Amino acid sequence: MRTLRNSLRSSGGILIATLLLFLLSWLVQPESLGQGAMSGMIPFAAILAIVALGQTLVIQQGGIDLSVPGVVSLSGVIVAYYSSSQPGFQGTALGLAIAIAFAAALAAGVINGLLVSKARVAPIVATIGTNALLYGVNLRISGGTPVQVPASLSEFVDYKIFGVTTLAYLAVIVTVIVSFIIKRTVFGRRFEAVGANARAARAAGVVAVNYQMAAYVGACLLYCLGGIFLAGLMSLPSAFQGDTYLIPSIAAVVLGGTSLFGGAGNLAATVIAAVFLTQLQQLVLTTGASVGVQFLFQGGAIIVGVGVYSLRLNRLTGLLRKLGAQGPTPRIAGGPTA
Amino acid sequence: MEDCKMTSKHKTWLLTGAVAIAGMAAGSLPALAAEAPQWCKDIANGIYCAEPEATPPDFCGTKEIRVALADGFADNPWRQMTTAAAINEASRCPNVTGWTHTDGQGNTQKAISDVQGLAAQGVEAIVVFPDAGPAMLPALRDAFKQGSAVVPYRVKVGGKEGEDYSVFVGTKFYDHGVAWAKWMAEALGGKGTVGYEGGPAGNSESVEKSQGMHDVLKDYPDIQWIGQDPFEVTNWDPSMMAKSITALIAKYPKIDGMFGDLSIPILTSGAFQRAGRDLPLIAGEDANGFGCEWEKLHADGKESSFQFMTTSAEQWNVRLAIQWAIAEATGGKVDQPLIIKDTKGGEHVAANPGDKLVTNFVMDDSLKGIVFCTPELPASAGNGTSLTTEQTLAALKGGL
Repeated sequence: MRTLRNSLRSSGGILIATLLLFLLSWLVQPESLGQGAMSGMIPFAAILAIVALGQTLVIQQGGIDLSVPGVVSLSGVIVAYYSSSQPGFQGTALGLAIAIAFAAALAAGVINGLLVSKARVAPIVATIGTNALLYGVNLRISGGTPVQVPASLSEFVDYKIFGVTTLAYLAVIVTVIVSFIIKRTVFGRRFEAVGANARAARAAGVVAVNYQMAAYVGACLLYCLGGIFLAGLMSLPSAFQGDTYLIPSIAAVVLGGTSLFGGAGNLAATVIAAVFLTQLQQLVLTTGASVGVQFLFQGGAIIVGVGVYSLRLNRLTGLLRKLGAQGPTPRIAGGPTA
Repeated sequence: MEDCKMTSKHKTWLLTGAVAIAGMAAGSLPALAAEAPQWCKDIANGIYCAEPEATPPDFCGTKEIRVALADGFADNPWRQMTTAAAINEASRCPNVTGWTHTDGQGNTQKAISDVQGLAAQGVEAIVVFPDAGPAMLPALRDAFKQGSAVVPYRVKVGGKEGEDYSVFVGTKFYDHGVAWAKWMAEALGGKGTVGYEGGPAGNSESVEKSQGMHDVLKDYPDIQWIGQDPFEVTNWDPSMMAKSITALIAKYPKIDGMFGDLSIPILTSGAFQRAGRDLPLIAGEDANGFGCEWEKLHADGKESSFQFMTTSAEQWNVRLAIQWAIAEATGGKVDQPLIIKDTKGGEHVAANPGDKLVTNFVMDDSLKGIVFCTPELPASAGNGTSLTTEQTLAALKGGL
């Protein structure tokens, strides 16, 4: 619980921004907060949150993962094609199909991890390559033809507990588990140490490569989970369903305050940022704005968000103090210089 | 004076000669009840080959040629069924001796080099789906000038018939919009809210359909157009469609009707169901899943507001293009109507003799009790393409 509280405290910025966004929604377009709109928005926010959590792990290691679309799309395709509900296609039980999807994601994560940590390929290059590989496998299986997932998966995804979809609860559970592992276990501490400074961690006796691998593998497993949920949500997912998740996943991580250069990551903030981005998109859509305006808003939000975090906060508060002070800033003995 | 009576030696020669002539004549006739062409049998064990006909159709001509289909992009069910239909159509001509299918993989440069490659190989009849539009024109022109019959279809490339390519075979998207809107207006009793889930921003197919819809709906002042005009941009992606529908649901207390190019996700993506809203009436392009969903919702006397109508998705458009390409390459004549068979055994006239634009037809109309659902086929299959269920299933499994 302390972990969650600490995380929420340091998520102050994005939490305030999200609350402001909901306030704005209520003022400008109250219907976007109605039951109908929320029931449509929350599942997507939950899926983006899970995918963005994976991206956070990779970015914490100073990397970036462009194989998100490949894993998300392939997971959905595997579950749809390998489960037995689809007429004309022979399949197996849903559970086995899901296991195959996770196995494929595991393989993708291992490939990413090996390329980045052992072969020292730049993450952006390695993960682009893996993404292409994943789409190759995808098209081999699907040929681009969408196929329906079993009704049981769709029903599970749409099931509501106290009026809220299961996906929301699952996203929270996944966030708590991943946060616990990263923030409260020895493994997690070392993970963040490697992300902050791999050389120093190595000097302290930590095998950095293992933790870098773990980031990419963990990420792909999370993308797979997101992809399976997305396939269940869509019921008839396209073979390219994951394409729209790459940029938002990175945006959520950045807006959540995790530095693109690696180090400590704020998982709870990423999840809040995922909600922020999804609600922003839904709000703009509800106003009836054209596609061009939608892109302007989303891009603008990301630029502002990144800009706020990039400004050195010392400089900002110093500047504000200089503007507001009547005389020279009083020096506090022994305190930090402005 | 020679004896003119036939000796036995003469009779033997005569008989031999007669047999030889008969043999040569038989050999030069097209293989009748016999065999599909070898190139066709090489594709998926010949499942797409047409039944050999007593007389090959006039568009075949007699010259021996090879045929190619150059796709800008091949990985979706529509393209897969189209390729199968193209193979099926080309195999009606015994004088077609070779077949190639190229896939531009969504890459304009590759699509261009595919066409250039086919021309360089001297393929005599080339049908092109020019996804890249006018960017393909130079490649088409070069192939045409090198002597191939070139037929772009469905996507306009500019240029001139007879100068830059042989013939352009197209469809009238405007008419789809008109058919959808007319059905919707009648089904709604002239009153209600309608929205249109289109494709990528600015795509000509959705633009033309929207024009058709508006031209009909302007006579129905009580029908309110909701959402974006000319259409909601969804890139034909189910998750974007779901989000767009959620936004409409948020804003409008009732959505009575929806139009959609790719229409099944309006149902299957669950946006209406999650919001606890009644399903709207839907007009769109035919897909097997639509009819099957309707049957599920209305099974066992269940009440459902959902009714729908579809026009043919035209995975058979390529058949006319193939006919024109072969005719242009061999001197044949496209002088027969293009008749498309659906899986219920119905027949539809999709083009009159000599037409270059196909005419669409209505497939489902649940209000009239016409609903297509073939349980053995997946949701994205088409039921009106003149392909059999086995051929459709094989096509959707890929490998064409």
